[in-house]
Amino acid sequence: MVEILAAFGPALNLFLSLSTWAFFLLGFVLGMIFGAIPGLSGAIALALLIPVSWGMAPEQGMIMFAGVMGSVTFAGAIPAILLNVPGTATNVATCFDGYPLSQQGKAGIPLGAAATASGLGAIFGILWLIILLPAVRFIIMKVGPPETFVLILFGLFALSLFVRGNMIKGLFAGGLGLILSFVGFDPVTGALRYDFNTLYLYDGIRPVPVIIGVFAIAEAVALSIRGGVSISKVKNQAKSSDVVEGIKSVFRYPKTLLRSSAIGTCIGIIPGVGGTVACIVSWMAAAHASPRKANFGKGEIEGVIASEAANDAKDGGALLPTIAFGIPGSTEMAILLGAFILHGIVPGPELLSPERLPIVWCIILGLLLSNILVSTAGLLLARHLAKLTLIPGNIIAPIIVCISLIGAYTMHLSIYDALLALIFGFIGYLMTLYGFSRVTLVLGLVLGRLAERSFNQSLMLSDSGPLIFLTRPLCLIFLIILIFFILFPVVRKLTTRRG
Amino acid sequence: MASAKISKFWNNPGFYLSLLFFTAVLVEIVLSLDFPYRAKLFPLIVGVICLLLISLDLLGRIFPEVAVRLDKFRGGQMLDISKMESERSSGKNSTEQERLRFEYLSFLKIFLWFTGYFLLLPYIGYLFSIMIFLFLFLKFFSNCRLKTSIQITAGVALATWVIFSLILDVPWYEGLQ
Repeated sequence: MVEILAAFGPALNLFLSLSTWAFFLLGFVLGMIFGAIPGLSGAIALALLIPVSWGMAPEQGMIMFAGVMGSVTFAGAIPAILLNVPGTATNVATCFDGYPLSQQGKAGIPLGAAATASGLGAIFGILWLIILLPAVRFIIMKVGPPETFVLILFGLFALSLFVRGNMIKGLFAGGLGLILSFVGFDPVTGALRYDFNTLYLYDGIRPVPVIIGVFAIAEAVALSIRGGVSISKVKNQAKSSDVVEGIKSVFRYPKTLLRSSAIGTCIGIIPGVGGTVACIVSWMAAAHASPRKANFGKGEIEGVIASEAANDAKDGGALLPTIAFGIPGSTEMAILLGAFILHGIVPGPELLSPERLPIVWCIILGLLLSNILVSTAGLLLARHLAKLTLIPGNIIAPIIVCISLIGAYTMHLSIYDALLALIFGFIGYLMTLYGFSRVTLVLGLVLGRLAERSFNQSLMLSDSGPLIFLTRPLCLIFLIILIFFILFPVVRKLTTRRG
Repeated sequence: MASAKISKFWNNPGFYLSLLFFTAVLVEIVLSLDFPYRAKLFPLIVGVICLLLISLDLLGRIFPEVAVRLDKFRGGQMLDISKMESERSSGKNSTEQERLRFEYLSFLKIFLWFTGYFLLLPYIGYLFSIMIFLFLFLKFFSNCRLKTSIQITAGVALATWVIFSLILDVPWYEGLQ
């Protein structure tokens, strides 16, 4: 605990420098813009910023990413409330009650409530992250190669189970990511694999161009095909008195705020579940607990508070498995893992060592500040930000492609990286269209080398071959949880049929 | 299985994507057989599992009954509100929707535009490629007005030059000399 607190000072020092603030603000503004424009998301903003972070100190890069993650979620609430179009998927439940209030001419109330609940929810999630870090640090000291391998397996399975769509396709995408990670030199024997006599493939397939491709370029393809957005003009103007009323309403429902923040944090910790599930579960819980159940979905302010508190609290929770085990709690965290690799940051014991702990604090501070700033800015600039939602998709798409390809090239000054990003852009688009998870693909690619190394090291350590994965307590616990998750849909089906 | 109805899978572009993945995994397995034991063990295990999974998906695309059975293993279905709503409103199953959603012509156009931009890069360098691609795309694909197309193109070119060249000092790819 002392070591963790001691790392706060250097992080704060770094945070106070002018250049760090410039990068933080770049991330913050980009996050707000990408959050406010329907169809774009924090994942795309992060993918675009990874190449920009090249050449920065790792701490500065992480602060910039935290700026994006903190601002994108609340910004997504603005079109959700004003236009009934969630800026990001995590704001879907905000539409349920936010938009009906806007239709009643009270747009300021949900905007004020969303901004306040977002900020407070995020603070709640981050506080829990800080509290749980020492405990997690103690656990990961006991993690060896077998546990690492089982944890990666657990992460891939959990993502496949919880992300939308077919589990088989989700698992396959994860496996495909692993296969892509096998290209190049084998980490254990040094043998060259799947290089097709191409010099470029000797170093393996780099995760960053793939991430840029499957998230940013794939989205640009989708936006271009969908064409211009047909969103009606902003009808609702937020009155100042309504905004104040919205802020007050959050404090009238402290139970809803706390419950939703707790739901968001807990769901954030579960790998792959993400903010969409958090906000919907939280909204349903609030509707269930409220004496005004019937008003939910018709403009009940508690619904907005529940959704926004949960989707911002999830970031603190999602950071925990990402930092401690390298298993991302959400899509944004999967991309953050790619950024970790670019900066030579290894999640787990190394990231929680005294030398690397300032990086963790930089992310926490960045996330905290970004959330507070976005809530304040949201209250002041909501009306102007709403205009961003009127930019047609087919204008944004070519800009994304231009920046993405330059970004992919920038990393290693290789035109082949740009080509790789383009190829995976089209593959990523087709994957989304036909239900293959892009997140598990990226996770497989990012964690593939570590998984293979851990697998081989475990077998070398073991006298009983693969049985080592069943004889270590932590491995066994995760395997049991994994089996439970796999069998859960079948059991649920059977119980439903009997019921 | 023998009496199961066969769908018109050849009309479904998703089938070809799955077939592409199937082929890729098969190549991975065959190539891995030549590697040393430690180097091939994990890729072989992953490859075989992936081959099984993608074979199931292909079977599902050929035999709709299999797809229905496989669809029961849908992890996130409990909260997949958007999918439930879209199916409820349209009354179509996902395979039909996939086929309808896929627009060959639009996809081909976008493919040509983006690939064209990429092919320009080695010849005229980044800055000119951005200017030419962005202007032409906005003017002729997005049907923007001339003034808007020029303004956006100039703005993006300037912003990328400032961020990547001026601030980050990234050497520009000048194109083939």
